Amino acid sequence: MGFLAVSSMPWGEVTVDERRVGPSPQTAIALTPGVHEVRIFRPGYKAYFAKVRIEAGRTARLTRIALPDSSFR
Amino acid sequence: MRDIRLMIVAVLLAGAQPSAAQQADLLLSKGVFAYEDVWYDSASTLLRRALSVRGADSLDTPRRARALTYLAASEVYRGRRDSSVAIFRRLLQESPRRLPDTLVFPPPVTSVYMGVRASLHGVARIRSTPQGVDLIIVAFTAHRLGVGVRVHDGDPVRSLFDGSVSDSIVVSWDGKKDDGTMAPNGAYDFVLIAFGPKGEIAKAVRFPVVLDQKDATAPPRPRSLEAPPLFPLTGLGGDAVELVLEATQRHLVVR
Repeated sequence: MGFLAVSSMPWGEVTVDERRVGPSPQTAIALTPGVHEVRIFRPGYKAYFAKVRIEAGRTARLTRIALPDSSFR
Repeated sequence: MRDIRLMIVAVLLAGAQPSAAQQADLLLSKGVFAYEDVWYDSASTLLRRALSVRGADSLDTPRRARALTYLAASEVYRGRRDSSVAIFRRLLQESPRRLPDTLVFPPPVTSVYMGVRASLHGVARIRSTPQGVDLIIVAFTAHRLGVGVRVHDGDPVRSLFDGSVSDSIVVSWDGKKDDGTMAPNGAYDFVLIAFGPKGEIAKAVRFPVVLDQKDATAPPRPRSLEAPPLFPLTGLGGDAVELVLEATQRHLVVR
């Protein structure tokens, strides 16, 4: 098992592999080793999407993610 | 990647010593940075150090409020809810109008804050002014409040306010009695009473005030005896003093 830490500004809902985890920040989401799809979304803001490789016994970090206002082009 | 991050935090924590004047601000910035990077133990340490700086180099009120908010949030994510509650309580006492930014802090944090706010009901503090003494009351929910002045541990002198407060109010005392004449020099109590929903006394707090005449040509002015204390309007006990009150529709008598 590995872990994922996530934070964003503003805070948003975090999903991993389309499973809802909860609002950011998240300190240690337990995940199986391998590649996972992470999404952070919040109404009125552009969603963030990334693929993250999780290694056993380690914590991958996706922190200080900026969610741009959806009116921003 | 993780090692690099750890090194960055280690450098931040052990960095060159700033001047005393910069230290609190720098510790605050580092603490916020650590929070945003999900290093909550480091954030807590740095923010506590920022808040512990005393004297002229301490954080000003808005920065203290910012530090307390991030510290309380860090404690939530460290699994230390009791500590978070205590810190939010301190925040509300120091900066009653400060609200955590709902873009920055998610419901797990803001819900703790709102719970503390609901349990406090309001805060009050006293300050001396050139005209006398002001009691500043901020109510977080609508309350019927009574404010009066009595001789220290003695007879009532002046009824100042009896009514509902849903936001804030400033009640002033200029040293005069109910009959409009000046009260004699001496020790007095500024008394605040919060009533419960059935009209019962939920909380009574006294603020010591002294009335003295330093200049024979100037009228005497009351002044607060203490640096502004802050009193949460919580339930019975705690800061409550022994008072017997008689509330009528228009007047509040403090015995």
